[in-house]
Amino acid sequence: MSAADARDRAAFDALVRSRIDAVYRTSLAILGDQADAADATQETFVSAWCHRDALRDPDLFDAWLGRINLNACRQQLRRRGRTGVRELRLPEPEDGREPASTDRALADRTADADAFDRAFARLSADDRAVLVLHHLQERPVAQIAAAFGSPEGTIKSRLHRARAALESALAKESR
Amino acid sequence: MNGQLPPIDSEIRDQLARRSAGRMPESLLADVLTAVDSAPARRGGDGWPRLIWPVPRLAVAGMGIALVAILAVAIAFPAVRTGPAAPPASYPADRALTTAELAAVMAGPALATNTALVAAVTIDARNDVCPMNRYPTVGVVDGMASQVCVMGATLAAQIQVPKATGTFAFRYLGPGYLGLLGEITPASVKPAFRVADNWPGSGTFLVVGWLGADPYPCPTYLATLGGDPLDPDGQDQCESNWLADDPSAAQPASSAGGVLPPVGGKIVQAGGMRVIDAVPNDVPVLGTYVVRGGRVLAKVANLSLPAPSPEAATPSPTAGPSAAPPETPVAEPSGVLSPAPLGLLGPGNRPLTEAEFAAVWAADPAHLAGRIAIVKGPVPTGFECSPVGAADAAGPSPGCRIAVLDGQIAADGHYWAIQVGSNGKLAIVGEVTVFQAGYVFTLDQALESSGNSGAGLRVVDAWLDWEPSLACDMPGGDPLCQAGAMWSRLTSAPLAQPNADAATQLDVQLGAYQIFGSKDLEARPIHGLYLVQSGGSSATILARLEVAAP
Repeated sequence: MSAADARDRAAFDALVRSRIDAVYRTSLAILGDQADAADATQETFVSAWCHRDALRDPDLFDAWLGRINLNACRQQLRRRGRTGVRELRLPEPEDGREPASTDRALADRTADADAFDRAFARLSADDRAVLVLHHLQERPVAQIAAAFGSPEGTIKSRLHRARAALESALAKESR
Repeated sequence: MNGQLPPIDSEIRDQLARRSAGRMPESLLADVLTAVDSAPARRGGDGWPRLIWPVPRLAVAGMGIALVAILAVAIAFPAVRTGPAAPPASYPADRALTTAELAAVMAGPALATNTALVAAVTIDARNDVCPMNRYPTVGVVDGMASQVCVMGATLAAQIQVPKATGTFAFRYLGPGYLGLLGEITPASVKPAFRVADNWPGSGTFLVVGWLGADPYPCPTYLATLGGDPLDPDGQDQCESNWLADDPSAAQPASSAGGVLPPVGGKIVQAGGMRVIDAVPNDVPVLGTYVVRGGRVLAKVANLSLPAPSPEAATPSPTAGPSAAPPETPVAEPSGVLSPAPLGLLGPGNRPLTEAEFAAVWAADPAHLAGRIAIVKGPVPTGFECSPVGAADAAGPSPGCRIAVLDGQIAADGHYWAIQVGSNGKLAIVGEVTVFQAGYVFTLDQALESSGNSGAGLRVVDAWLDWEPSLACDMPGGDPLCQAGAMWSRLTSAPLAQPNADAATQLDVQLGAYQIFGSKDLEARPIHGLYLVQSGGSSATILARLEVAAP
């Protein structure tokens, strides 16, 4: 897609339709809250539209959008911290049943998910983001570096640090 | 170790997949496209603004919408200067406070926090005398009877000249502390513009007029928040705010999905200041408003001005252009201002006792203005202190201050964060959280405690550090970029250490490193005890604590 097309609203709408699911899921993985993720998604696309002239190389659209999305997620985390809202998402039973005390597997999964979410909530926005991009989306380090606007070496270091921070947080949550 | 990428961890992947699973909200695509519709168009000359407000949760887009609306209304209604604002011919509509008046206000009883005021003064750009506050230091006001610090909302508020003389809008933050809203661009005749005037294209200015609001139906996603008092960014929740010279002027019929102000009025963003200044939205309110970038930042309070103190007596200028330089400062600070102490603790990192606190107060009461001390209850009330060098410290002395507890009574045996006022009053910031091992938490302990017990005040032993934020190739001025230059963090270990991979980190407020650490970014990290107001995944540092000198 050319730069001229990218600046065209119809083309932008098409970009929104093709990317919104990925942006929402990235936001949801980082933020862990559907409303926050929806807000971050919306902020991402509005900001991208408002600043579309800043995109000089249309080939870098996805990296550029990813960077805006990360900033939107960080802003959302800040707002959540300011308002003191803390939410935990628990897995829903696959068959729609309420968790039963006798269903040990489900209870364990719920406990694991709860511990993971609590541990993940301890991490900074950047640590969360780098873990999502690497472990969930399996992005090449070059893409992650582009999204962060940082050198690849920095990203590798951050990945190790974020992983260690998560393990440390999980250890604390499992006590 | 860091040369290789860590392998994909299937357990982490599964948990993250779970977090991101589920259906995307059905309305999200439509919401996004509608919000993009509402985003500012950069092609000018579209005439009346077509405002669509389908999704009120988007602060960034809302700001842009208001800006476009104001510009479009300005185009549609060619401005006609209609002369000076209507009476009353007094502060704040027609003039700013003089230096003497501001000195009297600051020396008098404490104002309500966040009271907005306008004063023509000189600010001495000193960032070495007020290092302890929630905001970066801008400087001190010349000509005050005792030190009055000026704080900025962000690091960008720094003054670039040694002394800045002009008319400034402030919020009263506490005894001895003002927060800078901005330097006022005056109108040609009086400090304040009318709504119908041509407003400045940039900068901060005053507008005398009626602030009103028109509600419109919309889903509600957010509780109403004010934002930072020095940079209110609260949303206009399901209402369109406007300023008008005549609120009874005919109002054009609302367009489909849009709202227009009264004829001659201008649409503004005011959701944040309405919360902070408690301005109701059910009736138009006449006032003098501080405006910047299409957003109303504050409503200037109608102060009952005290008479200037004798030592600060200077002929008060009568009403006139506020662009004129203020009168000669009435009281130059005596000698060189020494660095103010940070938040205070007792020896061995224990809370100050009542006697120790009284002694610290006596040593330099004016210097402690605005500082926070950690005190073990009972908090002293009514004790008399003595000036430095008094031979008989036990007896009352001329000029001694009486400390009066202002607020709830601090219970005996509990630990309290107390803010010292320059007016002889002490204010309780809050009770400090304790745990079985004491009251000084490691960062891990603090996070665990806040996770279990919720938000609260905690003294945390940690490193204050920062990291550069994401690079941003968007134009300057974008809110996302402004907030992204530097991210301050409390960490359980210096991030630069080889074994720092497992360091626990906690995001703290923007610029916290430069507020509580050092102006020198390369001097990081700063190890210390920090008084932290925690909540969720981020926190606010209220003070960096140091042991009070005996």
